[in-house]
Amino acid sequence: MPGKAEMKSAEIKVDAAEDNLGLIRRFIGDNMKNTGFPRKKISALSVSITEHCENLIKHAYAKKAGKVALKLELKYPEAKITALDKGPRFNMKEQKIPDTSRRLKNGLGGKMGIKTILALCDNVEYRRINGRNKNTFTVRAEKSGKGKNKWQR
Amino acid sequence: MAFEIMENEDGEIIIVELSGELDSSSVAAFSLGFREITGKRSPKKYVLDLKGLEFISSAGWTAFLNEFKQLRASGGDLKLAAMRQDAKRVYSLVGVDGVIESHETVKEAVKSYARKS
Repeated sequence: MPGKAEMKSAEIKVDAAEDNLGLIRRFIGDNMKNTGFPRKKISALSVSITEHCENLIKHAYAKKAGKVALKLELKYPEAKITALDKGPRFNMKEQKIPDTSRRLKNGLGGKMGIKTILALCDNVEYRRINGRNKNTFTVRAEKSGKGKNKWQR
Repeated sequence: MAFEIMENEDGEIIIVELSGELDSSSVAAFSLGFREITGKRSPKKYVLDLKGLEFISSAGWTAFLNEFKQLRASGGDLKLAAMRQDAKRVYSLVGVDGVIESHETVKEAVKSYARKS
């Protein structure tokens, strides 16, 4: 486990393509190995970034292929991954999060990705900078309760 | 790890083993493979054995729901078994648990079919 002041970071830039989803998860898994973060938190970041990239591929880059740049920053007990893309402006936190349980019971699918991200991450931040979307997903090994997304309370 | 789908029979129940990672890159392989399995048989009770499934995204859950709906519409059924902890969390979180039954083991899922019939 790294000391409290020790920080580790790693970056990767890939085509936002389905074939790269496994590579992105391995990037997270390999860099978080032996860092003291519980498996549950590593999994939360892997699931969240996969959901985010699946949305990018399906919506933001549906008509024109693009890249996604990822930066993973670990400073125990906090791990965050920032994703930069050049798709249209999209802030997931401005979306109305549906009651997916009710939707599924009524035979409707979809809308699960954003709900999953907002539930698994301790914090999600969005900014639009120089024509790029910057999404930062944070998990904390020791959850303080601060920064919980509103709907979880 | 590459996604794989395999079938086994336990009486009139078909066990479908999934392994590897199921996301939008592999979901077509799941749907094609599963429909190949369901298309060639009259028994229509299935258990998805998820013990070897290392990762699943919402694309995978949506595919499970689609196959479940198809089977139910034709008088069949689908249950999940041996889900890993990480998957279990999302299964409940998004509400798949209110639609598709899940069991700790394949054996329990098979037994649950016996209890119903």
